[in-house]
Amino acid sequence: MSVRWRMSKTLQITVTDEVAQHIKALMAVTGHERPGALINLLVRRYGQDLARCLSGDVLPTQDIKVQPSPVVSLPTPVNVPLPHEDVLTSQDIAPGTAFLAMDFET
Amino acid sequence: MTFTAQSIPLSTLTSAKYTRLVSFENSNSFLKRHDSEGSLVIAAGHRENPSVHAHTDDENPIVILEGQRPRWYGARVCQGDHVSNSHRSKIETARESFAACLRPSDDGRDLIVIASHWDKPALESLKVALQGQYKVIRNGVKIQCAVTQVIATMEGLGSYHSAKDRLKDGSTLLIELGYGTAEIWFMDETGRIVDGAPVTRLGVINLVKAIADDPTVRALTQDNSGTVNLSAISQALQQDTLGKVSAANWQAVKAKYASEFLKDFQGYLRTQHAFHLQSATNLVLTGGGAALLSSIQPKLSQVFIVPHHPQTASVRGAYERQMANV
Repeated sequence: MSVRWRMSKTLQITVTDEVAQHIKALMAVTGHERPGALINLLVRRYGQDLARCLSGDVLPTQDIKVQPSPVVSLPTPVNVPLPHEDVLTSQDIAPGTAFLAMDFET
Repeated sequence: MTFTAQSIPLSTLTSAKYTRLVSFENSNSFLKRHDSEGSLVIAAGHRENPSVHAHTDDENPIVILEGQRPRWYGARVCQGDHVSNSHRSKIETARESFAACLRPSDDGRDLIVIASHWDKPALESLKVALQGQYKVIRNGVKIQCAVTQVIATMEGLGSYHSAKDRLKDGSTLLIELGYGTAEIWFMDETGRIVDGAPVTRLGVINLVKAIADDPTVRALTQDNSGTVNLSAISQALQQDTLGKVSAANWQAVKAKYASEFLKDFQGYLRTQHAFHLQSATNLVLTGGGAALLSSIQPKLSQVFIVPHHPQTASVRGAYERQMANV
Protein backbone atom coordinates (compact mmCIF):
# COMPACT_ATOMS: atom_id res chain seq x y z
CA MET A 1 0.00 0.00 0.00
CA SER A 2 1.19 3.47 -0.75
CA VAL A 3 0.01 6.99 -0.12
CA ARG A 4 0.12 9.74 -2.71
CA TRP A 5 0.34 13.37 -1.56
CA ARG A 6 0.10 16.38 -3.78
CA MET A 7 2.91 18.75 -2.90
CA SER A 8 2.24 21.54 -5.35
CA LYS A 9 0.61 22.11 -8.70
CA THR A 10 3.50 20.40 -10.38
CA LEU A 11 4.66 17.72 -7.99
CA GLN A 12 3.24 14.79 -6.18
CA ILE A 13 4.91 12.24 -3.99
CA THR A 14 4.18 8.60 -3.46
CA VAL A 15 5.31 7.03 -0.21
CA THR A 16 4.76 3.74 1.55
CA ASP A 17 2.37 3.57 4.49
CA GLU A 18 5.32 3.34 6.82
CA VAL A 19 6.86 6.53 5.49
CA ALA A 20 3.47 8.24 5.61
CA GLN A 21 3.29 7.46 9.31
CA HIS A 22 6.76 8.95 9.84
CA ILE A 23 5.79 12.08 7.95
CA LYS A 24 2.60 12.46 10.01
CA ALA A 25 4.57 12.05 13.21
CA LEU A 26 7.01 14.70 12.06
CA MET A 27 4.10 17.03 11.22
CA ALA A 28 2.93 16.74 14.80
CA VAL A 29 6.33 17.97 15.96
CA THR A 30 6.88 20.74 13.43
CA GLY A 31 3.32 22.01 13.42
CA HIS A 32 2.91 21.73 9.65
CA GLU A 33 -0.73 21.29 8.72
CA ARG A 34 -0.23 19.79 5.27
CA PRO A 35 2.17 16.99 4.44
CA GLY A 36 2.97 18.72 1.16
CA ALA A 37 4.37 21.78 2.93
CA LEU A 38 6.62 19.68 5.13
CA ILE A 39 7.72 17.34 2.34
CA ASN A 40 8.53 20.27 0.09
CA LEU A 41 10.77 21.62 2.78
CA LEU A 42 12.48 18.26 3.28
CA VAL A 43 12.91 17.57 -0.40
CA ARG A 44 14.42 20.98 -1.01
CA ARG A 45 16.80 20.44 1.84
CA TYR A 46 17.71 16.81 1.41
CA GLY A 47 16.53 15.75 -1.99
CA GLN A 48 15.09 12.28 -2.07
CA ASP A 49 17.14 11.13 0.86
CA LEU A 50 14.59 11.93 3.52
CA ALA A 51 16.00 9.42 5.95
CA ARG A 52 18.16 11.95 7.75
CA CYS A 53 15.18 14.15 8.40
CA LEU A 54 13.05 11.66 10.20
CA SER A 55 14.49 11.80 13.69
CA GLY A 56 17.20 9.30 12.91
CA ASP A 57 14.87 6.71 11.43
CA VAL A 58 16.65 5.25 8.41
CA LEU A 59 14.23 4.59 5.63
CA PRO A 60 14.92 2.55 2.53
CA THR A 61 15.24 5.01 -0.31
CA GLN A 62 13.00 2.85 -2.46
CA ASP A 63 10.16 3.66 -0.06
CA ILE A 64 10.12 7.22 -1.29
CA LYS A 65 9.38 8.16 -4.83
CA VAL A 66 9.12 11.76 -5.86
CA GLN A 67 7.74 12.12 -9.33
CA PRO A 68 6.63 14.98 -11.52
CA SER A 69 2.93 15.39 -11.91
CA PRO A 70 1.65 13.79 -15.07
CA VAL A 71 -0.08 17.06 -15.85
CA VAL A 72 2.92 19.32 -15.95
CA SER A 73 6.46 18.07 -16.07
CA LEU A 74 9.01 20.25 -14.35
CA PRO A 75 12.34 19.34 -12.81
CA THR A 76 12.17 18.34 -9.19
CA PRO A 77 13.65 21.10 -7.02
CA VAL A 78 16.46 19.31 -5.25
CA ASN A 79 18.90 20.84 -2.78
CA VAL A 80 17.63 24.37 -3.25
CA PRO A 81 18.20 26.03 0.10
CA LEU A 82 15.52 28.41 1.27
CA PRO A 83 16.56 31.54 3.14
CA HIS A 84 14.85 30.76 6.40
CA GLU A 85 13.21 27.38 6.06
CA ASP A 86 16.06 25.05 5.30
CA VAL A 87 16.73 24.10 8.89
CA LEU A 88 14.09 22.96 11.34
CA THR A 89 14.74 24.06 14.89
CA SER A 90 12.77 23.97 18.09
CA GLN A 91 11.75 27.54 17.29
CA ASP A 92 9.64 26.18 14.43
CA ILE A 93 7.45 24.16 16.79
CA ALA A 94 4.17 25.89 17.55
CA PRO A 95 3.75 26.35 21.33
CA GLY A 96 0.40 24.54 21.16
CA THR A 97 2.05 21.53 19.52
CA ALA A 98 4.71 21.56 22.21
CA PHE A 99 2.02 21.68 24.89
CA LEU A 100 0.22 18.68 23.42
CA ALA A 101 3.49 16.77 23.42
CA MET A 102 4.20 17.50 27.09
CA ASP A 103 4.19 14.60 29.49
CA PHE A 104 2.56 15.39 32.81
CA GLU A 105 3.04 11.98 34.38
CA THR A 106 4.26 12.28 37.95
CA MET B 1 -14.34 86.14 45.11
CA THR B 2 -12.26 84.51 42.41
CA PHE B 3 -9.58 82.03 43.28
CA THR B 4 -6.58 81.43 41.11
CA ALA B 5 -4.51 78.31 41.36
CA GLN B 6 -1.88 80.26 43.24
CA SER B 7 -4.34 81.54 45.88
CA ILE B 8 -5.83 78.12 46.78
CA PRO B 9 -3.98 76.31 49.57
CA LEU B 10 -2.07 73.25 48.34
CA SER B 11 -3.97 70.98 50.73
CA THR B 12 -7.25 72.02 49.11
CA LEU B 13 -5.89 71.39 45.65
CA THR B 14 -4.61 67.93 46.48
CA SER B 15 -7.80 66.85 48.24
CA ALA B 16 -10.04 68.04 45.41
CA LYS B 17 -12.48 65.43 44.18
CA TYR B 18 -12.11 64.18 40.66
CA THR B 19 -13.57 61.54 38.45
CA ARG B 20 -11.88 58.21 38.95
CA LEU B 21 -11.37 55.36 36.51
CA VAL B 22 -11.99 51.95 38.05
CA SER B 23 -11.70 48.49 36.51
CA PHE B 24 -14.05 45.89 37.99
CA GLU B 25 -14.70 42.21 37.40
CA ASN B 26 -17.57 40.41 39.07
CA SER B 27 -16.99 36.72 39.45
CA ASN B 28 -18.74 33.96 41.33
CA SER B 29 -15.45 33.24 43.07
CA PHE B 30 -13.59 36.53 43.45
CA LEU B 31 -14.53 40.19 43.14
CA LYS B 32 -11.68 42.13 41.55
CA ARG B 33 -11.03 45.82 41.29
CA HIS B 34 -8.08 47.83 40.03
CA ASP B 35 -7.45 51.56 39.92
CA SER B 36 -4.67 54.06 40.57
CA GLU B 37 -4.37 52.76 44.15
CA GLY B 38 -3.75 49.17 43.08
CA SER B 39 -5.64 45.88 42.95
CA LEU B 40 -8.21 44.54 45.37
CA VAL B 41 -9.39 40.92 45.42
CA ILE B 42 -12.23 39.77 47.66
CA ALA B 43 -13.53 36.21 47.92
CA ALA B 44 -17.10 36.49 46.63
CA GLY B 45 -19.00 34.70 49.39
CA HIS B 46 -20.75 36.57 52.19
CA ARG B 47 -22.58 36.07 55.48
CA GLU B 48 -25.37 38.35 56.71
CA ASN B 49 -25.37 39.95 60.17
CA PRO B 50 -21.89 38.86 61.25
CA SER B 51 -21.02 38.81 64.92
CA VAL B 52 -19.15 41.64 66.63
CA HIS B 53 -16.07 39.45 66.57
CA ALA B 54 -15.87 39.47 62.80
CA HIS B 55 -12.32 40.51 61.93
CA THR B 56 -12.53 42.90 59.01
CA ASP B 57 -10.00 44.38 56.65
CA ASP B 58 -9.97 45.54 53.05
CA GLU B 59 -10.21 41.99 51.70
CA ASN B 60 -12.74 40.90 54.33
CA PRO B 61 -15.08 43.90 54.59
CA ILE B 62 -18.44 44.31 56.28
CA VAL B 63 -20.63 46.18 53.82
CA ILE B 64 -24.02 47.83 54.33
CA LEU B 65 -25.56 48.86 51.03
CA GLU B 66 -28.52 51.24 51.10
CA GLY B 67 -30.38 49.86 54.06
CA GLN B 68 -29.60 46.18 53.45
CA ARG B 69 -28.44 43.97 56.28
CA PRO B 70 -24.71 44.05 56.95
CA ARG B 71 -22.80 41.52 54.87
CA TRP B 72 -19.38 40.21 55.68
CA TYR B 73 -17.45 39.32 52.54
CA GLY B 74 -14.13 37.60 51.97
CA ALA B 75 -11.99 34.53 52.42
CA ARG B 76 -12.60 34.31 56.19
CA VAL B 77 -16.32 34.02 55.61
CA CYS B 78 -15.85 31.46 52.86
CA GLN B 79 -14.05 29.13 55.29
CA GLY B 80 -17.40 28.51 56.97
CA ASP B 81 -21.10 28.54 56.17
CA HIS B 82 -21.69 31.34 53.67
CA VAL B 83 -23.86 32.54 50.79
CA SER B 84 -22.29 31.94 47.41
CA ASN B 85 -22.97 34.03 44.32
CA SER B 86 -22.80 30.99 42.09
CA HIS B 87 -26.57 30.47 41.86
CA ARG B 88 -27.22 34.06 40.71
CA SER B 89 -26.34 35.82 37.48
CA LYS B 90 -23.42 38.22 37.41
CA ILE B 91 -25.78 40.96 36.26
CA GLU B 92 -27.95 40.40 39.32
CA THR B 93 -25.01 40.54 41.72
CA ALA B 94 -23.02 43.27 39.93
CA ARG B 95 -24.20 46.25 41.99
CA GLU B 96 -23.79 44.67 45.43
CA SER B 97 -20.46 43.14 44.45
CA PHE B 98 -19.17 46.48 43.23
CA ALA B 99 -20.36 48.12 46.46
CA ALA B 100 -18.23 45.62 48.38
CA CYS B 101 -15.20 46.81 46.42
CA LEU B 102 -15.62 50.55 47.05
CA ARG B 103 -12.76 52.39 48.72
CA PRO B 104 -13.00 55.24 51.26
CA SER B 105 -11.22 57.41 48.69
CA ASP B 106 -14.19 56.92 46.33
CA ASP B 107 -16.32 59.05 48.63
CA GLY B 108 -17.71 62.08 46.84
CA ARG B 109 -16.36 61.04 43.47
CA ASP B 110 -17.85 60.19 40.11
CA LEU B 111 -16.60 56.82 38.95
CA ILE B 112 -16.12 55.61 35.41
CA VAL B 113 -16.14 51.84 35.60
CA ILE B 114 -14.62 49.43 33.10
CA ALA B 115 -16.60 46.27 33.70
CA SER B 116 -15.35 43.01 32.20
CA HIS B 117 -17.68 40.14 31.41
CA TRP B 118 -17.44 37.08 29.17
CA ASP B 119 -21.03 37.23 27.87
CA LYS B 120 -21.22 39.75 25.03
CA PRO B 121 -25.05 40.00 24.84
CA ALA B 122 -25.15 40.78 28.58
CA LEU B 123 -22.79 43.76 28.42
CA GLU B 124 -25.60 46.30 28.05
CA SER B 125 -27.44 44.86 31.07
CA LEU B 126 -24.20 45.06 33.04
CA LYS B 127 -23.94 48.77 32.26
CA VAL B 128 -27.46 49.40 33.54
CA ALA B 129 -26.88 47.33 36.68
CA LEU B 130 -23.74 49.21 37.72
CA GLN B 131 -24.73 52.79 36.93
CA GLY B 132 -26.15 55.11 39.55
CA GLN B 133 -25.65 56.42 43.07
CA TYR B 134 -24.05 54.30 45.81
CA LYS B 135 -24.54 54.89 49.53
CA VAL B 136 -22.45 52.37 51.37
CA ILE B 137 -21.02 51.87 54.83
CA ARG B 138 -17.92 49.73 54.44
CA ASN B 139 -15.96 48.71 57.51
CA GLY B 140 -17.69 51.57 59.33
CA VAL B 141 -16.77 54.22 56.76
CA LYS B 142 -19.49 56.04 54.83
CA ILE B 143 -18.90 56.14 51.11
CA GLN B 144 -21.16 58.03 48.73
CA CYS B 145 -20.30 58.03 45.07
CA ALA B 146 -21.84 57.77 41.65
CA VAL B 147 -21.02 55.50 38.76
CA THR B 148 -21.61 57.91 35.91
CA GLN B 149 -20.37 55.77 33.07
CA VAL B 150 -19.79 52.07 32.52
CA ILE B 151 -17.49 50.83 29.79
CA ALA B 152 -18.47 47.19 29.44
CA THR B 153 -15.75 45.12 27.82
CA MET B 154 -15.11 41.52 26.99
CA GLU B 155 -13.09 39.47 29.41
CA GLY B 156 -9.93 38.35 27.73
CA LEU B 157 -9.02 41.76 26.35
CA GLY B 158 -7.58 42.85 29.68
CA SER B 159 -5.43 39.75 30.05
CA TYR B 160 -4.31 40.13 26.46
CA HIS B 161 -3.18 43.66 27.21
CA SER B 162 -1.31 42.46 30.31
CA ALA B 163 0.65 39.99 28.22
CA LYS B 164 1.01 42.22 25.17
CA ASP B 165 4.65 43.15 25.70
CA ARG B 166 5.65 39.50 25.57
CA LEU B 167 3.62 38.46 22.53
CA LYS B 168 5.16 37.70 19.16
CA ASP B 169 3.51 38.95 15.99
CA GLY B 170 0.63 36.64 15.15
CA SER B 171 -2.52 35.15 16.58
CA THR B 172 -3.07 34.27 20.23
CA LEU B 173 -4.90 31.59 22.12
CA LEU B 174 -5.63 32.97 25.58
CA ILE B 175 -6.92 30.77 28.38
CA GLU B 176 -8.20 32.31 31.61
CA LEU B 177 -8.36 29.60 34.25
CA GLY B 178 -10.72 30.75 36.95
CA TYR B 179 -11.98 28.91 40.01
CA GLY B 180 -15.44 27.97 38.72
CA THR B 181 -14.97 28.27 34.98
CA ALA B 182 -12.34 28.94 32.38
CA GLU B 183 -12.63 31.08 29.29
CA ILE B 184 -10.88 30.34 26.05
CA TRP B 185 -10.32 33.22 23.65
CA PHE B 186 -8.87 33.31 20.17
CA MET B 187 -7.39 36.63 19.12
CA ASP B 188 -6.15 37.57 15.67
CA GLU B 189 -2.87 39.36 15.11
CA THR B 190 -4.48 42.71 15.96
CA GLY B 191 -5.76 41.51 19.34
CA ARG B 192 -9.38 41.32 18.23
CA ILE B 193 -11.41 38.47 19.71
CA VAL B 194 -12.54 36.23 16.87
CA ASP B 195 -13.97 33.37 18.94
CA GLY B 196 -14.25 32.22 22.50
CA ALA B 197 -16.40 30.54 25.09
CA PRO B 198 -16.54 29.70 28.80
CA VAL B 199 -15.66 26.12 29.76
CA THR B 200 -16.93 24.84 33.10
CA ARG B 201 -14.91 21.64 32.88
CA LEU B 202 -11.59 23.47 33.19
CA GLY B 203 -12.33 25.48 36.35
CA VAL B 204 -9.93 24.94 39.25
CA ILE B 205 -12.88 23.68 41.31
CA ASN B 206 -12.52 20.42 39.38
CA LEU B 207 -8.99 20.03 40.70
CA VAL B 208 -10.18 20.86 44.21
CA LYS B 209 -12.97 18.26 44.04
CA ALA B 210 -10.59 15.61 42.75
CA ILE B 211 -8.27 16.24 45.69
CA ALA B 212 -11.22 16.14 48.09
CA ASP B 213 -12.08 12.69 46.75
CA ASP B 214 -8.58 11.36 47.33
CA PRO B 215 -8.88 8.57 49.93
CA THR B 216 -5.95 9.86 52.01
CA VAL B 217 -7.15 13.45 52.00
CA ARG B 218 -10.67 12.35 52.80
CA ALA B 219 -9.53 10.17 55.68
CA LEU B 220 -7.50 12.98 57.21
CA THR B 221 -9.76 15.96 56.65
CA GLN B 222 -13.40 14.91 56.57
CA ASP B 223 -15.71 15.90 59.40
CA ASN B 224 -18.19 13.65 61.26
CA SER B 225 -20.66 13.88 58.39
CA GLY B 226 -18.02 12.73 55.91
CA THR B 227 -17.73 16.17 54.33
CA VAL B 228 -14.43 17.61 53.17
CA ASN B 229 -14.24 21.41 53.23
CA LEU B 230 -13.54 22.47 49.64
CA SER B 231 -12.64 26.01 50.71
CA ALA B 232 -9.95 24.65 52.98
CA ILE B 233 -8.50 22.64 50.10
CA SER B 234 -8.66 25.67 47.81
CA GLN B 235 -6.68 27.74 50.28
CA ALA B 236 -4.27 24.91 51.01
CA LEU B 237 -3.44 24.67 47.30
CA GLN B 238 -1.62 27.98 47.72
CA GLN B 239 0.13 26.77 50.86
CA ASP B 240 2.48 24.05 52.04
CA THR B 241 0.10 22.07 54.20
CA LEU B 242 -3.49 20.93 54.55
CA GLY B 243 -4.57 20.36 58.13
CA LYS B 244 -2.66 17.42 59.53
CA VAL B 245 -1.44 16.21 56.14
CA SER B 246 2.34 16.45 56.19
CA ALA B 247 4.03 18.93 53.86
CA ALA B 248 5.65 16.11 51.85
CA ASN B 249 2.38 14.23 51.42
CA TRP B 250 0.52 17.40 50.53
CA GLN B 251 3.07 18.26 47.84
CA ALA B 252 2.73 14.75 46.42
CA VAL B 253 -1.08 14.98 46.41
CA LYS B 254 -0.98 18.38 44.71
CA ALA B 255 1.48 17.17 42.08
CA LYS B 256 -0.54 14.02 41.38
CA TYR B 257 -3.88 15.77 40.89
CA ALA B 258 -2.41 18.76 39.08
CA SER B 259 -0.92 16.24 36.67
CA GLU B 260 -4.35 14.63 36.16
CA PHE B 261 -5.92 18.05 35.69
CA LEU B 262 -3.32 19.05 33.10
CA LYS B 263 -3.80 15.83 31.17
CA ASP B 264 -7.53 16.54 31.06
CA PHE B 265 -6.74 20.11 30.02
CA GLN B 266 -4.50 18.78 27.23
CA GLY B 267 -7.17 16.33 26.12
CA TYR B 268 -9.84 18.99 26.03
CA LEU B 269 -7.74 21.33 23.91
CA ARG B 270 -6.66 18.49 21.62
CA THR B 271 -10.22 17.40 20.92
CA GLN B 272 -11.99 20.78 20.93
CA HIS B 273 -9.47 23.36 19.78
CA ALA B 274 -6.64 21.53 18.02
CA PHE B 275 -6.57 23.89 15.06
CA HIS B 276 -6.43 27.10 17.10
CA LEU B 277 -4.00 25.54 19.54
CA GLN B 278 -1.53 24.46 16.88
CA SER B 279 -1.87 27.48 14.64
CA ALA B 280 -1.63 30.17 17.31
CA THR B 281 1.70 31.98 17.52
CA ASN B 282 1.17 32.78 21.20
CA LEU B 283 -0.35 30.84 24.07
CA VAL B 284 -1.33 32.84 27.12
CA LEU B 285 -2.40 31.25 30.38
CA THR B 286 -3.85 33.56 33.01
CA GLY B 287 -6.29 33.72 35.91
CA GLY B 288 -5.86 32.30 39.39
CA GLY B 289 -5.53 28.81 37.94
CA ALA B 290 -2.49 29.90 35.94
CA ALA B 291 -0.73 31.05 39.10
CA LEU B 292 -1.55 27.79 40.83
CA LEU B 293 -0.69 25.37 38.03
CA SER B 294 2.49 27.11 36.92
CA SER B 295 3.75 26.98 40.51
CA ILE B 296 3.06 23.23 40.73
CA GLN B 297 4.18 22.43 37.17
CA PRO B 298 6.90 24.95 36.14
CA LYS B 299 7.32 23.54 32.64
CA LEU B 300 4.04 25.14 31.64
CA SER B 301 5.96 28.39 31.35
CA GLN B 302 7.98 26.82 28.51
CA VAL B 303 4.97 27.02 26.21
CA PHE B 304 2.58 29.47 27.87
CA ILE B 305 3.08 33.16 28.51
CA VAL B 306 1.89 33.68 32.08
CA PRO B 307 1.38 37.39 32.91
CA HIS B 308 2.68 38.73 36.20
CA HIS B 309 0.12 38.25 38.99
CA PRO B 310 -2.16 36.27 36.67
CA GLN B 311 -5.15 36.31 39.04
CA THR B 312 -5.54 40.06 38.54
CA ALA B 313 -4.13 40.29 35.02
CA SER B 314 -7.58 40.70 33.50
CA VAL B 315 -8.80 43.53 35.72
CA ARG B 316 -5.40 45.27 35.68
CA GLY B 317 -5.04 44.90 31.93
CA ALA B 318 -8.53 46.29 31.30
CA TYR B 319 -7.58 49.36 33.35
CA GLU B 320 -4.24 49.83 31.62
CA ARG B 321 -5.80 49.25 28.21
CA GLN B 322 -8.30 52.02 28.85
CA MET B 323 -5.62 54.33 30.21
CA ALA B 324 -3.57 53.69 27.06
CA ASN B 325 -6.48 55.08 25.04
CA VAL B 326 -6.66 58.29 27.03
